[in-house]
Amino acid sequence: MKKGLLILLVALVAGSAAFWVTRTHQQHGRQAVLLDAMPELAWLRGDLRLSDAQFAQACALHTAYRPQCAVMCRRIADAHAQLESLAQAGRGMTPELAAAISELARVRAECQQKMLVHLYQTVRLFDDRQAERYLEKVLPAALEATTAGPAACHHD
Amino acid sequence: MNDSELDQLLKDGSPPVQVPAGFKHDVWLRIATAESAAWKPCAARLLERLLGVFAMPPVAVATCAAMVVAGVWCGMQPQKSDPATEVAYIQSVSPFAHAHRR
Repeated sequence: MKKGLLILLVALVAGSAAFWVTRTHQQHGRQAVLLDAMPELAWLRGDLRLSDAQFAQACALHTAYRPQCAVMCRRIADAHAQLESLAQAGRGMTPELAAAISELARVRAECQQKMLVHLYQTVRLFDDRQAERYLEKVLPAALEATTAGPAACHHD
Repeated sequence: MNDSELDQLLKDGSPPVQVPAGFKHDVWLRIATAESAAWKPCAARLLERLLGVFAMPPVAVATCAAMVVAGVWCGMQPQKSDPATEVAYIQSVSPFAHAHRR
């Protein structure tokens, strides 16, 4: 009886050790991503299970896109600030206010297009399953983006 | 002899016995304890038999191997993605990231 109990314990310890070693190995891979300058990409690698090559290409695209995104962010913020300032002046629907509304809508539409271009460039790096998952998660935010409030420059 | 005569005879024939207080209670308690403990030897025998199976070399090796495989499989399962990292990514590509509103 004692021998059987001992074997059962040994099996449990071996299973736990196997789990720990495997998980630690996987965590190590994730930490390498987190140590990167772009921790926001941890989701891409972890959730979509990108290969090293895919991840490297996604990083390159993301790095190239970041400055563009920051510029767009600033333009939206400026256009919104201009609109807010004119609206709060309380002089009614002046031509300037109408122009500010149009300008904000134009800037938002332009930024949304550029964002979608980036998302579709990124999705081309993935296989069908990864692409489906990526679009499922990211597209709703991209499509609803313009209905959100004023932009803030998160790249600052 | 009718029943009442027999009852009287039995009553007269019983020697006077002094039982301690709580005798009946003790008797019933012992009966209840014996009944509730009856499954224990059965479970012990079952456990002994089961552990005896694990002590057999082929079963022991198979159990250890199965546990290692199960451990590796569980360890390889993708962890549930952290919603915070997903949001961080979406915000990083969206110029409309209103979560950081000024």
